[in-house]
Amino acid sequence: MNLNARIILAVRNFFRKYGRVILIVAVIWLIIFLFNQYLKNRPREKSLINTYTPDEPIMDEGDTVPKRAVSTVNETIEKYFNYCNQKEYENAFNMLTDQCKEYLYANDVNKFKEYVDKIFPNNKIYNIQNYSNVDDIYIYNIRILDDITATGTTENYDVYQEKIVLHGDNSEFKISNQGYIGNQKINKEIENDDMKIKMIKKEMSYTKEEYTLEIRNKTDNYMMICDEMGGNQITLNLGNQIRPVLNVTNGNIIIVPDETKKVTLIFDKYYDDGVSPIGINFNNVRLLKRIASSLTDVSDQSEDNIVRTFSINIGLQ
Amino acid sequence: MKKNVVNILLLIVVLILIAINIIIYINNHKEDEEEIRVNNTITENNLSENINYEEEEQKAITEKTTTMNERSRMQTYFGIFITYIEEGNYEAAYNLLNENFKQSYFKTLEEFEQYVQKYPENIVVDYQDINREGEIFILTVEIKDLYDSQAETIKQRVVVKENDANDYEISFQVN
Repeated sequence: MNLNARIILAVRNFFRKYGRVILIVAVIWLIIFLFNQYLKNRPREKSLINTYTPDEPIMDEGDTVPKRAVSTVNETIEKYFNYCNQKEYENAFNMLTDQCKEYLYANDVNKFKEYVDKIFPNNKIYNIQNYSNVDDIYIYNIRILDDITATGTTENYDVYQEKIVLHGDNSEFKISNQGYIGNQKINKEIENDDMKIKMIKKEMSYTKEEYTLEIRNKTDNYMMICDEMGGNQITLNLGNQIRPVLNVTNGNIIIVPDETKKVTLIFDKYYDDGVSPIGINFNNVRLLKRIASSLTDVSDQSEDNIVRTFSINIGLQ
Repeated sequence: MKKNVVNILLLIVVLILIAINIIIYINNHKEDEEEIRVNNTITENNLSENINYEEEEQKAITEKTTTMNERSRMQTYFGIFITYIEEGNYEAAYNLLNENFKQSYFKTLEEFEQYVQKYPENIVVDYQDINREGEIFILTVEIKDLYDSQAETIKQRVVVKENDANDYEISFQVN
């Protein structure tokens, strides 16, 4: 057989043996090529570089607002804002949680109206930024400002900001404003020979916790829980931190013999710090023989007047 | 054994073909991303050609803004506004203003034209600061005369709201 014939025969055998594989490879290659051409020629979507991410939390990068809730959250805030801006007080008020209506406005829409009128004296615009998210609660910072697109900032511009909180499931939300979150009932009691303390509830805001307690003085003496120095006489135990009470400086907490008194104690505490309070400490309870004639005056705390001092811890866990 | 060798060889061929295609695609993509230069010379007075030219110019600006960061985009938009004023194209500048802003400060084009006479003939803009309120940007600028350093400097805040690439509204502090 001459050379040409052998070459032809070899090629024919090659294609007979590997023709199918070559065909498959060629088809795959053609598909990839055509797909490339399609991608190259399709009109590219213009996307602008944008660093404004209102639904990503700035305090905690982990817990973002779920994608399925984002549009409902934004629509809820926009609706609430528009009601306030257009002075539809009842509609805006009805978007608040029941606890918020009660705590901040005593369930009185007129009190809410005063708040709205103070913040919206004229037409406003707003922008939001997610701060943090805890369980089904989404905390946003809202900035409410004059409509600077209409004024060009000609008379400068006012900005008001506060935390608003979205509560609810992903299909419908209620709002609590002015940084208020909600309240929690606490059924805890502690008792010794001198006193009985009943924890009733705590009101939570983004930056504070407010505890309501009933304290009964079981003794025959005056019971001074805290004098006008305030500070570390009453503290909130967070484990790795101790927070002093905020609302009794320049005042005092004195309970006369056999009296039961309702007391509120306010402490600094961020809602999203991930820490559960361990307890409230009364660090320097003094039993006094007598007190000043007016409860707002400074009482005598000399050794002669003090019957006994002690401390007591109210567990919260 | 021989079959395995053949299979491996064929696989190598396929992978080489895929790699070649990817390289070709990337190279073509790089050519498309060359900077588009805006041509500012008007070649004829033919109206349809002018319209085509303006459309091309706008398209070029739109393309360019998609590659810019936010600060550069806002400065570009205000730069375009100032350029229109400098060129005496007051209507184009007026059309960039926010509607509510126009209603409050410049109800007519003539009022706007009268106001911008306070700007120098040849303008240079010094960008002092940029802030944002959500999707709205506030630029603090100083507008100066390019050729006369003794001339008065106009300090202003400028508000830019961007709706989309090269789609924006301007309002400013009326001094």
